[in-house]
Amino acid sequence: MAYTQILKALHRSLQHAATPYAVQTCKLTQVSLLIHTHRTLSTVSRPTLHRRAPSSVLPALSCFIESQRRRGISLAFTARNQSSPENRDKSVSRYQSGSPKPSAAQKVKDAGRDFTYLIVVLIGLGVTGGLLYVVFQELFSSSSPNKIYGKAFDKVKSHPEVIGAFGEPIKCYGETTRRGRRQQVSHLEYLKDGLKHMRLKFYIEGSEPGLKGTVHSESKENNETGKYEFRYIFVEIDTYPRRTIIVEDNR
Amino acid sequence: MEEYAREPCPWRIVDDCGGAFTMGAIGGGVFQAVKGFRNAPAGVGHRLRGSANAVRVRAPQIGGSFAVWGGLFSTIDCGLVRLRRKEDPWNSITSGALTGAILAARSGPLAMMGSAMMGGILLALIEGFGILLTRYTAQQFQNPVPFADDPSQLPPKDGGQQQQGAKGQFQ
Repeated sequence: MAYTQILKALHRSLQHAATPYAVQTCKLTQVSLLIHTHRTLSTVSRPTLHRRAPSSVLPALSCFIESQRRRGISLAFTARNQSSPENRDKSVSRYQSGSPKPSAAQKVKDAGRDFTYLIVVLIGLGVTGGLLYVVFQELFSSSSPNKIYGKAFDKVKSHPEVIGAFGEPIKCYGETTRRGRRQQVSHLEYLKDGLKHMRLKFYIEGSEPGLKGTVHSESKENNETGKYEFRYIFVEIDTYPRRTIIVEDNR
Repeated sequence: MEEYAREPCPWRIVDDCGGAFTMGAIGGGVFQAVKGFRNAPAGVGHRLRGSANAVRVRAPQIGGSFAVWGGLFSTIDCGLVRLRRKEDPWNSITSGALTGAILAARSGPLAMMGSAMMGGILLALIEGFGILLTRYTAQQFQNPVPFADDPSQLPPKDGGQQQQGAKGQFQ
C-alpha cells in the first residue's frame, strides 16, 4: 500500500512537471532534445504507467513516440498535436481533482466485458464439474458398470475352473478403441419387471498363450438394498475347443 | 479381427508418443504463428517472416514436450496395466498424476504435488469425456425393445424360454 501511495505522489508531481514540457517539446520538434526527454521521461514514468490508468500519460508519450519515429513534422503529427491538448488538459484536471472517475459509457463497457468473462468462466466450471461428476459416479458409485466389472472380475479370477483353463495371472479388459485403450466395458442397462438389469461383457486372458475368454454377466438391482446382484456370470472360451464355464448362476 | 489378436500395450507407447508430438507440433505451430505475427515489427513482410521464424523455432519444442508427456504417460499406463492386470479408468488417472509428478520432479515436492493434481484432474476430465461419449453412442444404437431372454450358453433352469439370438446385441 505504501509503495502505491509513493508511486501515486511521484506520478502526480511528474505529471505536473511533464505536461508543460511535453507541449513545449512537441512544438519544438528538435530531435536530439526530443530523444533525450523521451528517454528520461519514459524511464522514470514506466512503473507509474503500469500502476495507474495509462490514459493520462499516453497522449503525451504517444506524441513523443510519433515524432521520434517520423523525425519531422508530418500531417499525422500535426493532427495528433492539434487533437491532443484538450485530451491532455482533461486528463490533468482529472488528476488534479482527485481519484479518476470513469464515465458511464466506460463503466457499461467494463461491466459488459466482466460479465462476458464471468459467463465464460461459469461455462468452463460447469463443464468441468459435469465431467468430474460423471467420472466420480463411474468410479465410486456401486451401481456403475465399472464397479460391477471389478466385482465380476474378482469372482471370475478366483474361480478354480477358470484358473485351470486360462492359467494364473488372469487379466481383463474391455472393448478396444481405435487408440489402443481397452478401458470401456460394453454394458447394457435395461428395465425388466420394474427392476434395473445390467449386462456386461468383457474379455479375459490368462498365462496360456492364445487363449481368450469372453465373460458375460447380468446383474439385477435388489429392490430393498438398491444394490446390484449377479444373476449369472459365465466365461466363454473363444478359441477352438469351445466351452462355457459357469462361474455363478443365481437365476 | 486383427485388432483383437494384437496386444496393444508395448506398441501403444510409440503410438502415443508420435501422436502427442504431432498434436503439439501442429497446435503449437498455429499458436506460435499467431504470436510471431503479432510480435514482429510492422509491415507484412516482417510479420510473415517473424511468424515463420517463431513457428520454426518453437513448434518442434512444443511438440517435443508434448511427446515426452505422451510417452511417459503411456509407459506408466502400460506398466499399471501389467501390474494390476486390469484395464479401467483408474489406470489413466493414476498415470496422468504420476507423469505430472515425474516431469515436475526437478522443481521440488510442492510443485510435484501441484503438477500431479493437474495431471490427474486433466486425465479424469478426458476419461469423463470418453465415458460420456460411449454412453451417448450406446444410446444411439440401443434397441427400442430390450431383449429379455437369457443367453443360450446357460443351461435351462427354470424351464423358461431359451431362444437363440440373445447374443450379439451388446453395443
